[in-house]
This record gives sequence, C-alpha cells and structure tokens, in this order.
Amino acid sequence: MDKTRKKKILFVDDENNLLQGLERMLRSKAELWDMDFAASGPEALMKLESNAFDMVVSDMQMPGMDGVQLLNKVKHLYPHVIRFILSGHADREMIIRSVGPTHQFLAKPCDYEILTEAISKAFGLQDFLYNGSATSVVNDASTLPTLPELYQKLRQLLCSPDCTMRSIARVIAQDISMTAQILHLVNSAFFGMPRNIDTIEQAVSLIGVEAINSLILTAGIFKEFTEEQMQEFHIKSIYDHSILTGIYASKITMKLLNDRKTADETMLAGMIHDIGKLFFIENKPELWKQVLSSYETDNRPFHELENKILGTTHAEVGAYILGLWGLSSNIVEAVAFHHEPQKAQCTKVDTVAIVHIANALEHQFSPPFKNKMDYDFLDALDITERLPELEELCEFRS
Amino acid sequence: MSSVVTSHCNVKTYALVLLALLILICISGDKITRNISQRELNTQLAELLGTINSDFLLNNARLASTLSNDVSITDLCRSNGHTDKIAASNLLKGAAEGSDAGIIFVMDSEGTVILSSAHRSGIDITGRNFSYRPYYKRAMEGRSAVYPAVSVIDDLRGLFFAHPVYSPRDSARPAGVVVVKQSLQHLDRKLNKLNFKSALISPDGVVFASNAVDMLYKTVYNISEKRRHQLKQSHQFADFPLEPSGIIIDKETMKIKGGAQCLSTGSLNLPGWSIIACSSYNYPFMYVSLACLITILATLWSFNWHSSIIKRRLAEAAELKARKQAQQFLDTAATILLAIDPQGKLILVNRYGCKFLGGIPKELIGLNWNEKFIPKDSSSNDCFSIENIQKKESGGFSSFSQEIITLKGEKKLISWHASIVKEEEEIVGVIASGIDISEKRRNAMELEKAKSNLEKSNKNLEAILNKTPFGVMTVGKDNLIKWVNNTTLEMTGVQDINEIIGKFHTDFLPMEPQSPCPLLNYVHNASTREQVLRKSDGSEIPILKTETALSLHDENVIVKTFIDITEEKHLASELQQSHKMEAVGQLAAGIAHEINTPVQFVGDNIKFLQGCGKDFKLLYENHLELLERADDGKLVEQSHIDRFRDDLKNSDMEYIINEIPPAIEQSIDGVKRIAQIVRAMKEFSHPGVSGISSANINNAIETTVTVTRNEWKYAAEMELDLDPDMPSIPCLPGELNQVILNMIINARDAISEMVGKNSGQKGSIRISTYHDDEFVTIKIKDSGAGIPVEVQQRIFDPFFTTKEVGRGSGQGLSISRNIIVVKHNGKISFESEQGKGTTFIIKLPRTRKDDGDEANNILQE
Repeated sequence: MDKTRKKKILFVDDENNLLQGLERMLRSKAELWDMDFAASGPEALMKLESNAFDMVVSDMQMPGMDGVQLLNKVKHLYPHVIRFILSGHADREMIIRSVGPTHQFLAKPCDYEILTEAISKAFGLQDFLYNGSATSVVNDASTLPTLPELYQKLRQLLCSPDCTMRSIARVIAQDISMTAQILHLVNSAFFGMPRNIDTIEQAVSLIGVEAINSLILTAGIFKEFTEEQMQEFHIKSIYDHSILTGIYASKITMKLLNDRKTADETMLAGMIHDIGKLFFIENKPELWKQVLSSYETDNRPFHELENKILGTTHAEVGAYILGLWGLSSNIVEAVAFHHEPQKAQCTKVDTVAIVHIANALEHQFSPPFKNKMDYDFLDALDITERLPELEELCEFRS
Repeated sequence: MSSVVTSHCNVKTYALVLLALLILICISGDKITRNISQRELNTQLAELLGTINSDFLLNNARLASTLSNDVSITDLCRSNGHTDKIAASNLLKGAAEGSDAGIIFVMDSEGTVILSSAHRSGIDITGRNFSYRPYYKRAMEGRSAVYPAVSVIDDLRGLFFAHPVYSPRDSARPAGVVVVKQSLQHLDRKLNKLNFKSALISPDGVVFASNAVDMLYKTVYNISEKRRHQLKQSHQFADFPLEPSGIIIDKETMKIKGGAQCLSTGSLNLPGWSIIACSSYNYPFMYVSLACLITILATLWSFNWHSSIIKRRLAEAAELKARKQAQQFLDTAATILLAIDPQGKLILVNRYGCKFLGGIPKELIGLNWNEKFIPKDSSSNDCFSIENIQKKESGGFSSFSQEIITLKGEKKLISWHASIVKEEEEIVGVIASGIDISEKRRNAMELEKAKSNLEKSNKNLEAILNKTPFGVMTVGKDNLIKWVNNTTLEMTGVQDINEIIGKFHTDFLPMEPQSPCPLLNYVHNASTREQVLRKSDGSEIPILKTETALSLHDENVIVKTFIDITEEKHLASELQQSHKMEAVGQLAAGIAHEINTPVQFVGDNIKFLQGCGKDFKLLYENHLELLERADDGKLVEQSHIDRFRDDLKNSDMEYIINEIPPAIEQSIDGVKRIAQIVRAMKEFSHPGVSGISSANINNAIETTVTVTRNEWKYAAEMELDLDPDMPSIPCLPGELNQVILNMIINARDAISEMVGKNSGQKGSIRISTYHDDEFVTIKIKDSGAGIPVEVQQRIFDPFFTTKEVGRGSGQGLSISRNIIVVKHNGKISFESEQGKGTTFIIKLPRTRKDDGDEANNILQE
C-alpha cells in the first residue's frame, strides 16, 4: 500500500441527515480523503468487505447493531482500520464496553476542526508507523497485559470497603497498561473533558470508581502476564525501569523547568514509554525474543535491531497506539522518540528531551542495557554540562 | 417434833415425856417390826404387783402394740415421715391424753424421731436420734420391749415401751418403732405409801424405783464389768455409777448386807422385771435404847442450836417453795424469760425460753450468752452487758432488739426488756424478757420490699413510656384525657402535663370522631391510621395513630399511641421528587442524543454553507469583473475566461447548487427538531402550572412521547390513536406526564426483554385515548413479555422491581398508582398475557369531587 494514497474513511450513522451534513461539511477534505457513508452497521460491514478503508467513524446508538458491536467486528476482521466513535451520548456502561474496540471517542456535536484534526492526526500516525507487520502487532492486541500482583491488588482494593480514589490511583499508577488505558478512557469525549489530565489521580477521580470497577473487572480488556512471560521477558525489570524513568523524568523536569504540570506529564510519559515492548511480548513473543538475544551479541543500538528484525520499534508501536487513543501529542512524541530524540526536531528542553534523558539515565544505572544517551542532542539543547547534576539527582533512587 | 418446838420453857417436862416415849418405843420396838411379818410382806407385795401389772405396764404395752398397727403410723414409717403427718399426729396426741403415758413418739428405722406427742417441757424431740437406746435396738429386732431409762430431756425416769412398726409391704425389717414412755411418778407415789421398803428392779438388777431414795440406781444383782459398761453406753440410767446396794439377790439366795429381817421378791408381767420388798432392819433393842438415850441427851443439850437450824430449814423450805412457784410462774409465761449473771452466763431460763433456744434447762444453764447465742458477726453482742443496760435503762428497764442464733441454728430477732437485778446494792445479773419479732420484722421487710418493687416497676414503666418515641395517651369514657407520656408533651409542645390531663382528647386529636364515649369508636377506629396532632400553638403535625381498649383499675380506657410522621411524609414527597429527577436524568441522556444529532448536522450544513459562501464570493467577483469588462467594452481575454471557468469548475458549483436546498431544508428540519424537543422537555418537567389545571391529556401524551423518543425508538414503533374530541379535564399535568413516561419506559423494557436488547428487532407500543361521560381513558399497550402471574400482585408495591440492578428503582408504578388513585381519584389497572404483552388502562374522572384544596395541599407538601 502506498503512503500517498488517498485515505478512505467510512462514516456510519442511522441518521441520514447527519451523514449528508458530514459529507457536505467535509467537502473541502475531498482531495485528501475518500469518504463513504453507511446508514447502519450491516451496511458498513458490506462496504468494508468490498473496499479497503483506513478508518471507520461510527455512531454509538443505532438500531440493530450498535457502534460497539460494529467496531468489534471491524477490529476482528480489519485490524489495521482505525476505529473512531462519534456519538451524541452514551452512558458509562457503553463507554466501558467500547474501550476495547475503540481508538478514539468523539462527541456530537463535533466541530469541523476537531473532527478533521483527530482524523488527520490518526492518519499521520498511521503513516509514521506504516509498516505491514508492525500495524498488526498493535491491532491484534485485544487485551493489554498487566502485572499480576498489581492487577490482583486492584481487584481486591475495588472490592474492599477501604477503596478510595487515591488508593486506586496509587495502584494504577504503578502499572503501565492500566495507566495507559486509563489515559485512553479519560480522553473519551464522553467524559466531557479537556485534554489536560496530568495525573492518574485526576483521571481516576474523573472517571469514577464505578467506571474503573467495570473497566477492570468486567470489560475484559486487561489480562495478567503469565508466569512464563514474567520470567522470560523480565517483565518485572521493565516495570521497575518504567516506574523509575517516570520518577526521574519528573525530577529532571522540576530541576530544569521547574514546572509542575510538565513534570506530571513527563512522569506519565516516562511511565508508559516502553508500552510498545508489552505489545510485542504479548503479540510477537518469538520476534521479540530474537531482538533480545541479538542485542546480547550484536553491538548495535537496540532500536536498530528492532528495526532490522521487527521492521519497527517498540517506541513507534507504543506511540502509535497512544496516539490513536488520543493521548496528548507531547506524550506520544516523548514515547515515539525516547531513543532518537533528534527525530523530534525539538529546539528546547521539552517532554521528549526529558523522557530521553530519564530513560538513558535509568539504563545507565541498571544494566544490561547500554548507554543510550544522545550527547549530540544534549549538546544541541545546550544541557550536556548539566548532566552530572541530573545524574546526581537521580542516583539516589528514592 | 412439834411438841419440842412449842414447849420452849418447860425443858424438864419435855425430857420426861421424851424419856417415857423412848421407853415405850424400846418396849414396843420388837413388836412393831414383828408386825410386818414375812407373810404379810408377801401379801402386800402381791397386792402391789397386781396393781402395777394391771395398772400401767399392761396398758402401755398394749398401747404401743396398738399404735404400731395403726395405718397412719405404718404409713408414716414407710414414707420416712414424708407423708401427711396430721392423722398420725392426732392419733399420738389422743393416745397420750387418753393414757398416763408421758410421751409417745415414732422413730424411723434409723432411730430418728419423726413424730412425737407433746412433751411436758414443751421441747420438741422430733429429729433427735435414739438409736443407741436398747429399746430401739430390740424393737428393730422385731420384738416389743420395755426398758428403763432416764430421760435426756428432763432427767425423769421412765419405762419405754417400744414396739416395732411394720410396713405392709415389708415384714422382714421393721420400718420404724413406736415408743410409749411411762413415767414412774405414779409408781413412786404407790411405793411411797408402803410401810416397808420396796424397789423396782430392772432385768439388769438396777433399782429403778424405790421408796428408799438411797437405793435408787443401785444394783441388786452381781453385774459383770462388761455389762455395766454396756449399760452406761445406753445412757439408760443417765450417768449414775450403778453401785451395788446393800441387797444382793442371786438366783439362789437373797441377802441383805447387815442382815434383813424379811425379804420378798415378785415378778412383774414384764420379763426380767421384779419388785422386791423388805422389812425394816432389825436392830437389837439395847442398841436402840442407847441410841434413843443419846439422841435425847443430845437433843436436850443442843436444843437452842437445834431450834435455829430448824428455823433455817423452814426458811429454806419456804424459799424452795417460793422458787418452785416462781419457776412455775416463769414457766407459764409465753415469753422468753432469762437471767444472766455479770459474767454473761445464763443462770435462769423459763420453759418457753428453753423451747425457743432449743435445749433443756440443764443444757442451757451455765452457757455463756454471747458465745452461744449471738452470731459472730453481730454488732449487738454486748446488749446484755451491765453497762449497756444501765446506759439505756429508763423506767426500770431497757429495751432493745437483738439477733440471736438458737442451738438449732435458727436466726431470730428478739425484742428484749431487760433490767439489772441487785442484791443489797450489788449487781448480781440481768433479767430479761424477750419476744420473737423475727417474723414480724421479716413481714415488715417483705412488705417494704414489695412496696418498693412495685414503685420501682411503676417508675420503670413510666420511664419506658416516657422514653418511647411514641406518644401515649389514655382517654376515659368521658372523652377526657387521663394521662399522657413525655413524648406527647414534646410533640404537642405543652410544658406541663396538667395542662393536658382533663382536656378533651379532640383538643389534640381533632380528627377523632366526637362521640359520647370513645369506647364506642374503638371498634371502628381500631386500625392504624394517619391523623393529625394539634400542637399547643395550633399548628398540626401528621401522625400515625393506633389505639387499644384497656381495662385499668376496673375502669375502661382507650390507650392511643401515635408517632410523628412529618419526616416520613417529607421523605415520601422527596422520594417522589427524586424519582422524577431520576426519570428526567434518564431522559437527559436520550434527549442529549436527540438534540446532539440535529445540532451536529445543522452545524455541518452551516459549515458547508459557509464554504459555499466563499465559492459564491469568488464566482460573484469573477462575475462582477466580467460585467465590468463588458461594461467598459473591453475584450474578455481567453486567459480570463479560462480562469473563470477553472474557478467555476473548482467550486463544484453543480454540487453546491444541488446541495444547498437540502442542506437548508435539513437544517431547518434539525432546528425544528431541536426546538420541539426543548419545548417538550420544558413542557414535560414544568407544565406551566403547579396546581390542578384543566389540560388535555392528548397533549401530555404527545409531549411525553417526544421527550422519550430516544428511549423507545430503537425498541419499538410508537403508534398513537388519540381521541380527537378529547375534552380537557382537571388534573395535575406534570404528574400525568410522569405516569405516561413510566408507562412508556416499562413498555420499552418489556419489549426489550421480549426481543432481546440490541437485537435490531422492534416491538410496538400503542397509546390510545377515548372518553365517556364520566372518565377519560388512556390505554398503553405493548407487545412485550407480559407480567408474570406470580408478580402481578406486587407490581404496584414501592421498590418492587424485576429489572436488573441499576436499571430501575422499583418506584415507577408505585408512584404512578399514587398519582392516579390518590391525587386524581382515578383508576389504574392492567391486562397482561405472558409472551403477548401488557395493556395498562388509566381512567381519570372528568370532574373532581372536591374543590381541589386537598389536592393542592398534597401538591404543596
């Protein structure tokens, strides 16, 4: 498939007026996108069968087959297709139900600008990652693996009378998948929220304990790592690394920028920057094992080996899925470029730079990963001489 | 002797007379002794034996035998004294009175006295054990026996006739023993009359009765030491040493120490018993004369001395008599009389006292009062001290009460009157009379206790009643309030209970029927019902009242209990409000969808039109430029034309021209839809009027259907068949909207249940209205699952729901029913068929019975 090819979007809604309205409104985008319209789920599936679409934007409440049912089918049949929901209203039950198959939620009425931006961004990510084998890694992922102890802890907590927002948030914040998924959910337009959620605690209080409860216990989007996975892929060390990277990122931000908001953001980015690894471990374990074993023998940087073996990197895959989920571009970029910050073309110390430094420092402190610090990049930002200071800051793991 | 005393001064004359007398005695001495010859002795002894044998021995032996066969005695023994003792007791009493038996008692097989006739001393011997007595042992061997014994109670000698008592069931071993005690006073009197020495000899040879005092308790047989020991053990003869008397009788010979003139023995009817008789000692005449002479001389010589001794003896005798009389007097008193010496020892106690203290005088006398009779922990142990009595003494005696413990171990409270006895200014002791007041005190204490218990329980009851959250009021048959509890006071706001008591109960319970007698109402009013309580400030609070008729102190009253239900009323109204909010909230989601969809496409169309504006502007400018050139007569160059054509082509004018009319049309339609929903929403939740107003229920149905469109549109087709001539009726439109909403939601849920959620299949809801002269009727028919028969009875119950948790609060139908039935005097019913569907039928009256005040009141709550 060709990157320059026009993207094809299928809009699904039971209200014909709405489809016509969309068609008229998006007339100006006709050069970029091919748009097709279906008035029901079955009709949409028929169209998907005969045409290759890149994205489906579906209404939620429809007679017969509703949006979630449709997207689940799409996910199953056409995993590479980006799946959006554009709905006038959905109750929480429906939202939770839709978290699995849906990349992004958009609320009616949705402005021209928001709609087109969201669509463009998603296509941008698709192009960025575009690679046949890699997309399937992401799209195959039906469930996100989590750390068993944290998953159990959260389950117990949700059943116990001591359950508080804070205690839930504390557990979720220690888990990569759950943190990412909560951020996904919280970006749902149905929670009517601006995109400035900075901490998991905020996210949890926004979503509500009840929704968290159904997300964790009933939605079935999480599964626990198996014992073999835990051992074979050193899951625990990935988690430790992620948590520490988050903490370092937060510390470094405070040191360099002294901005609480950015610190919270870099903390989240640091926490989930390796989420791509989890996708590989879950969906392409053999390939991932290959990467790991060659890393031990080969002297090349990790991401180069990834590219060689997988055709993509865990950073790209992670960024792709987080981007599709509508997480802020700062976080998405930080994840995407945490190995190669220069690609981000940043001109000042930002989330990308900080997550890169935090990640490299953490690897420096805990082998077997080799030094990954991009000194040219640091020189360009004129912060190389502050490195010892930052090292000292992070050395004392607290 | 008397002559000696009287002829004081004529000593010589007396001496002569005495001499003459002596000579006479000496001469006739021989003759006197000789008068009681052996023969005579034998005769008299025989005579005596006859009397004794027939007199009492036989009688009492028979008595014992007779008693032992009596049913009441056998019963008594068989049951070991656990049967009714009255019959046996009466029998013993009668037998004792009818004979000269001193006491009759019955022992059980263990030798313990279980029943006894009254003892002369008043001491009750019941419970004492006489198993050591030989007569018991012998009777238990199955033989009747008679044994001599000295009573342990009064030291008097007696013959104990014992006879075994057999239980009818067991003839092997006696179940008890009947004992008849024969006192020997009678025999003693008989013996004393004799002019010769005589003695009653027990089988052991012990003298048990005799007119010669020195013979008593002496032995006449040679008794072995072993036997003597046995006798002592049996306490038959108290502690007497049983020394040999001068007379020794053996099987062969009888001899009297020093030689007796005559000796005769005779057997009694009792085996082993005998009586001996002997004449006086036969001293030689010369010894006698000499003795007489010496006596006379001594008498003469010591006349004066003699006379003083005699005087003293006489005085002693008088004193003894007086003391005996005093003792007798004391004994007849029915109070405890006792004397205590300064050392605290009991020196005198009357018979009543003995009985009371539980002992015989012999046991009691000499006991230390405080040690023996005062409980160790008692504080009243020095009551009898001299100092104490002196201190308290007034009017010759002091009074106090003292707790004592008798020898039997009973605690008693005694009220004493005591005074000090002085002899020539020296204190010799304390005498005291006492009355047992234990019973009195106990009764008084019990009475006091019962009284305080009663008071306490009264207080408790009142306290409980005062603390209950229920108002309690009792009303007499005169309609006047008799009593109320504190809660009633608090509820009515009255400070003083007396402001309520005596008032008419209708002053506070204005809804109670006015009746000559509230008891008449009771039957009709018995059920619990809501009423109002009028407070002292005239305001009224809702109460739930129930009442009971009660008989108190032979007076019938009505007890009314009631509880303030202001809070409940408030809650109920809040509940309805919250249900309304819940319904509206549920709708809000659907309405948001209903509004957001048209807003989306209206916005899209406008965005499109905005874009069209730009295109039109470009074309318009091109058009103007073309016209200007044309006006100026300039040539229109090919480049211009190409540009204009490109612009026209790029603007996709054909599409625009085609799309603008439907875009505008759809937008107008969308705006209309939004406006309609918003209006219906407003109509639904705020129908403009809050009270009763005239409204057309068709409007209410249309409004509600619109508002709920999103709720039913995926599940059902909605069909309205509304009566075009529907008249307006007085109603509460907002409330009716809520009812119709509930009906539609239920219909939708029933259909979803039937066809399955998100199945894409649809059912149908049909709402129809029609009217007649009396009612307007709404029918809501669905093609749902129907109501299961087993829950049909309960569907109008509050909080009853069959919907899954979180979907329904179970209030919808309950509230609907309340709105229709209570607030509109209407009817709500349903017809349901499983698997086919349900039809709810609501009938509303076209006119209201009242002015609507009540409904308005309800509404304002």
